[in-house]
This record gives sequence, C-alpha cells and structure tokens, in this order.
Amino acid sequence: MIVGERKPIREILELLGDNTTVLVVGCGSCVTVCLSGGEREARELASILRIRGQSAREVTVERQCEKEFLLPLEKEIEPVQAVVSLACGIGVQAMSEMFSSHRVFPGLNTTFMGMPVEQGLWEEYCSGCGECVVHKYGGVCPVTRCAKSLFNGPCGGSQAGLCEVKPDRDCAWQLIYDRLKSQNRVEELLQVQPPKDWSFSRSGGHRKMSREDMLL
Amino acid sequence: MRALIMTHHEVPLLERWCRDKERTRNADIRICSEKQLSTQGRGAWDVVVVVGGSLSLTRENVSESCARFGWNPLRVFTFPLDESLIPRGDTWLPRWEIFFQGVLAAKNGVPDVKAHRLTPSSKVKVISHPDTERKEVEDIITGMRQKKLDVSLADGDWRIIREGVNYRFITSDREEIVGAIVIVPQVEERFFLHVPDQIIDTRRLVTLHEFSDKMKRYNFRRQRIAFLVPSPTTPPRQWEQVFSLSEKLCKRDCAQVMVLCAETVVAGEGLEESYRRSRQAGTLYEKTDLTRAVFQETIDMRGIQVSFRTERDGVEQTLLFDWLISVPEQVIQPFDISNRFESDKILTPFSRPANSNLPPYSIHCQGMFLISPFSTLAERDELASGLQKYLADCVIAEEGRVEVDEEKCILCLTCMRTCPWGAVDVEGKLKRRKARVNWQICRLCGLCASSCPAEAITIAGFPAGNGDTVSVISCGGEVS
Amino acid sequence: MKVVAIGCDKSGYPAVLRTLEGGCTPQLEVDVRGVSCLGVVRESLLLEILEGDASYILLAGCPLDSCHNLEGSRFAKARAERVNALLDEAEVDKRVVLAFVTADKTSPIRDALARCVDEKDRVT
Repeated sequence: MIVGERKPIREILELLGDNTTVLVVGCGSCVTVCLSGGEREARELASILRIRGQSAREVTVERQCEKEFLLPLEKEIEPVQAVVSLACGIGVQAMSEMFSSHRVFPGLNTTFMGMPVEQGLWEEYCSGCGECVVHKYGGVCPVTRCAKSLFNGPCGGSQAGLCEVKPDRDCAWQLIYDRLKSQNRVEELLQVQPPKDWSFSRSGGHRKMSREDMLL
Repeated sequence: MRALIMTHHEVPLLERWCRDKERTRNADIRICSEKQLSTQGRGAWDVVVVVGGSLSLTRENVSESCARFGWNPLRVFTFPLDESLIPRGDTWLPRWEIFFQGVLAAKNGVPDVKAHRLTPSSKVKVISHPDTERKEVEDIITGMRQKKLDVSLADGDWRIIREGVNYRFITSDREEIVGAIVIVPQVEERFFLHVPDQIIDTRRLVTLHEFSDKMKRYNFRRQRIAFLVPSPTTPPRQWEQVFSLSEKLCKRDCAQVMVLCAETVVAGEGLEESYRRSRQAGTLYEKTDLTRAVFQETIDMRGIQVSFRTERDGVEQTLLFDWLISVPEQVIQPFDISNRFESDKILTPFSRPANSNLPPYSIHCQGMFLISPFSTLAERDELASGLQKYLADCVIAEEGRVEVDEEKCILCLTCMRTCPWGAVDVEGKLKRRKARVNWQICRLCGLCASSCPAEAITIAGFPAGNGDTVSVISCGGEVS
Repeated sequence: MKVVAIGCDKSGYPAVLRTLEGGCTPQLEVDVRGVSCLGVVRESLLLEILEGDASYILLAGCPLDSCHNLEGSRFAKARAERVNALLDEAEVDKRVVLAFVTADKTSPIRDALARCVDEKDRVT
C-alpha cells in the first residue's frame, strides 16, 4: 500500500493563495486505508477551508490513478478555481493530465510503500528497487529497512537490536539474523553478496513496464 | 399517531398539556407511570417518550425496556427532566414543546430494530498452553468448581466457533456450547535489570530460585544480602518468597538483609502478615529506581558495591553486599489460538487492555478471560466472581441497528482493531469480503463507525457527521 | 458567544444539563446534544459544527480510564487534539475543549466553560 502524509494546512493554504473556490478530491484506495486522504480527510479539509471563509466542496473517487474513475469529475471541476488532490503523487498527476486547464495542488506528501504494523502506525517495507532479493535475507528487505541499505551487513552501529541511524527502529540486520536463525539458515549469510545493480532502480531513469499480450 | 408517554413521577402540568389537542397535533397520547407499564406497555406505539428521572437514563436502560415490551429502540425518545424542577412551575415547558415537535417530526423510515435478551450458556471451558504447569491449571479449575461454576478443561485437539454470545467448542468426538472461556497462558520469568558482565562473573548474583535452593544447603551467617526487585509489577507469589526468605535469613542466619525495590506489593492473601514478620525480623526495605543504580565489584571479587539513591529522602547511598538476589517478573506470553478459531480467522490480540481500571483478568474479547498460572488465591477468587457475574447478567443486544455498506467497505480492518468488545470480524471471500458486526456482541458504542475511514458502518440513530445535521439526539432515537 | 456541548449519555449529557440548570455564565449560549459515547464523535462532525456560528465545542464524557466503552474518551481526546491542531494550523480561533466528568461531579464543565469565556476575552 502507498502511504502518504497530509501536508500542513498552512502549506495547503499558501498553495491555494487567492483561489477561493476549491474542490477537494479524496482517493478511496491506499490513502484511505492509511487515514490520510480518504473521504473523511477530504471532508475535514473542505470543512477547514469553509471555516476560513473559502467556498470549498469535497468529492471522493474510487482511485485517482485511473482515468476512467476521474471522468465523472468533469462537471464538478468545471466551476472551481483550484483543485486539491488528496491522492498520492500518481493521483495528482493523473488529475493534472485529465483536467489540464485547472491547477491541481497536492494535499499530501507521498511518503513510502509500506504496511500498518499496528493500528495507526505504518512502516516502510519496499522501495521499489526493481530487483527483489528478500528471499536471500529471510524475507526482510535490507535495501529498504536497513538505513544504509547494506547487502553484507550488519554495520557496526547496531545496538540492542536497534538501528543507529534511527534508534526507535529495529535494525534490519538483527531481524534478518533472527529470522534465518529460526529457519536454521544462518550459514547463508557467510556468502558475500555482489554489489547491487542500481540500473533497475531510479538510477536507470524513468521506468516503464509492459505486457505485450495485453496491449491493445 | 399513537404515542405512549412514560413518567417516573406524577407531572400534572404535562397531563394537562397532553389533553390540548391543538398542541399535540391530534396525536393519540396515553400517559402511564412506571408501575402501569407492565400492563399497558405492550402494543404498537408509533413513539414512546420517557420523561423525568431520565437524567441518568442510558441507552442500555432504553434497550432493556424495548426487549421487555417489544418496542423498536429507534422509536423511543427520552426527555431529560430533573425531578426537582417539576414542583417549581413551568420553566421546562418550552423545552418540552420544542422536544415534542421534534418527536412528531422524527423520520418515519427508521430501520426495523429489535432488542433481545441474551443469556450465555453457564458452561465454562478452560484452555491452557500445552507447556503450562498442569497442576496449577487443575488448581485453578478446582477453585472455580468450589464457587459452583460448571468448569471443564479442554483436552486434545479442539476448535472454537463463535456463536453469538456463546462459543461452540469442538473436539474430535463431541461438541459443546460454552458461555465463557478461560485462557491460562504460559508465563515466562524475566529479569529486566541490566547488570554489567563483570558483576555476573563474580557469581554473586543469583536468581531467587537458585538462592532458595542454596538456603537449604548453606548458612549465610552474618552475610550482607540484597534482593533486587526492579519491576513494580512483580507478582505476589514472588513477593511471598522474598518475605519468607528474608525473614528466615534474618532469624536463622543473623544475616543483614535489604530489599531494593521499585514498589512493595502486600495486596494478597496473608501477604501483609508475612511482610510485617519480615520487617520485624530486621529486613530493611528501600524504594529506589534500580535502573539508575551503579554496581561495582570489589577487588577480591567477593562482594558487590551498590550505589543508589533512596526514593524516600533522595540520599545517595553506597552499600557493600556479599550476595545479590535477582527477583524476576512474570510476563504472560501471548497464547495464539487464532488458528483454532474457525469463524473469525483474525482475532484481536490476546493482550491485556491498557485501561488500568479494568479487572486484571479481562481481555478484549467478550466471554474470554485470562489468568496467569501463578496467580494468587485472591486473583483466582476475583476471576471466579467475575465469571459468575458475566454468566448471570443477561446481555441486551439490538438486532438490525448496525449496518456495513459492502460497497463502501475497503477492508482496511480499522473497525476490527478498534472494537473494544471484539465484535467485528470479516465475512465473505476475496473481493466480496466485508466487515461484519456481530449484533449479539455489539454494545453499540459506535467506535467502529466513527473510526471507519470509508464511512461504511452506520449505526441507526447515531449522528454520523456526514451532512445530516443533528439537533436533538435522544438515547434511543434521533430527532432532527 | 455560542458553545455547543456534546455529552455522552452515561455521564456527560446529564452532567451538562445539571450544570446548566444550576445557571451558567450569562455571556454563553449553550446548545446541548447527547451521544451514546464520546467515541462516536468524529472529526468531521466537530468541524461541521464549527462551520456554524459556534466558537467552542465542549466534549463532556466519562473520565479517561473509566469510560463505559473502554476507549471512548481516549478516542474523543485524541480527536479533539487533532481538530485543535488543524484549527491552529489554519489560524482559526475556534476550539474544542474537553471535560471529563461523572454524573455527580460537574465542576470540570463549569471550569471548561469559564476557560472558554476567558480565552475569548483575551483574544478580543
């Protein structure tokens, strides 16, 4: 799931500037589940804007990252001066593409791909590096969950199972060791892993994926 | 429109008001007192209004009457009227008039809600972790049988299916309906205090268990001994041992004994008495934050210096001890029975609730109780009376009040994690799945509905805050 | 000045009514609403009320640790804090105040109302 965090209200107000008629668009998928950009949050933001004397309305679509879901919004968007999208960065871009005559402002900062570790707390689990290796590390991703992305870890800073960069987080290498130990596979860690090929990741530039048989 | 007005006290002013057909807009009104209710209450009333004495009338009271007289809880309105105001004239009458107009104008199409009285089965099942000490579990069961509870121990391979307020307990050869389940988890002893390695190397730091063995074989004549109790939640059983050992050390061996602790526990059967005897024998008790204490071994490695600051007067002290005894805390290990649960695959975790006012044995799942195998008699008694109360009190539940909109539900599981009563689970398969609220367990607190990010859960009669403005909300129904 | 008071029917609602029957500060116009538990009041309802002419919302409920529904008051507290943070960020001087009461101990409500009046005086 994609996790986002609402921008500070002050920043949103600054973005909006003089635009007084605003449409707040929520997204009913990932950001609803992570409680940052769903129907409720859209209504809250619109409410705040109305309390401040602006004329704001809110609407929520199933997924902002599909153009088909955005089509019915056309009528809603027509009369407004500005749109605040509470979707992830993908949704904001899709909105901007569909309604290119309007300015679409992001209301969220898209932060990471992760999962809820407990109610109300999300943690990053994947950084989309393009070449998955978690099977070698007992199902714990060293690229994402180790602050230094070490393939041949741990570093010298791991203390009492916690990371030295962010001491409130578990050391990924501790987790890897514990998991492999419980599977009786610790020896596999002795194998030195070759350096990662980052060309599959962002370093290789904008990525694209296609499935020939599904193309129309 | 047929309206029944129920009053707790005689309110002549109200009776006069109700006779005025113009004001009541020709509604057919009957006023009756609480006593007449049993004969006149039943019937097809369009609305029921409860007046007076109702300042403390809660939703539960309303549902109880609804279960008795077959009313729809959404058609019951309460008018809060302080009894002391009745003789003081008609100051409350304008408020009543606005209220009654609201009642008359109340929405017609309310859902068909029924209140039921549910009684859990009187049987109790005890399930214990395979590694839990069998003797203790049997002790717990005997204790509960003495309190006239119908208890049995789960044996072999078993599965549970939740059926309303009851649980269906299935073993290979038979099935049984039980009203409550007592979980006896495994307990792990843990000593949280971090002690430097060189202190452990002196071999002068021993656990309580080891030391009580040593006591049988050696004499600690005139030695200096300290018990370290770093956790304030050390169970009474451990304290019992600390008290008796320290008393024995002082009396038999003339040792100098000190107990360094975060908190002394004396609440429990006979604990206060043994604490007193231990003090009388000469044991010193000192409250201190042990995590800040400094441990230093002597050069000959035969003693350990402990520096600490007393909580009582904040004086820094350094004392030399020959022996340190670590008193561990007992931590309940989570006993995962979710794979034995057939109906709800995902269960609320079996941890204790954070609410410190709840009895220690209660957990977030109705009809499930938790007790440590090393609990004291008092704790077991408390559990037994809690169980008796739970099984005797009928539960009033309202059917048809909570609705999950499967089009809106996004399966984020927030409701399941927030429900304090464990009444929410997930039904259906794959994409057709949605949250399900078990009406027999639901207490209508509304926490799930208010935390649902997709606003898929609605509770009829509760304000939702999505567009419909609410002016007066009574306990049962909603007036707008 | 207008205040909307929302109380749970276990303790807050009767306590608010009792406080008001006892006479309250004359500058205040208090609109009372009852809910089954403070935990049902979500942020959007609070903000929707504040869109009107009310300057303060008073949430009155059971004490934090003895809420009838275990977590209701905690939910209310967290939500009130969140709404207040949002209002603070948006530089709006409307607020949600909390009062944890039992049906007999109503003084926190009077204190909370008095605090609202004080604060308003200071701002103007």
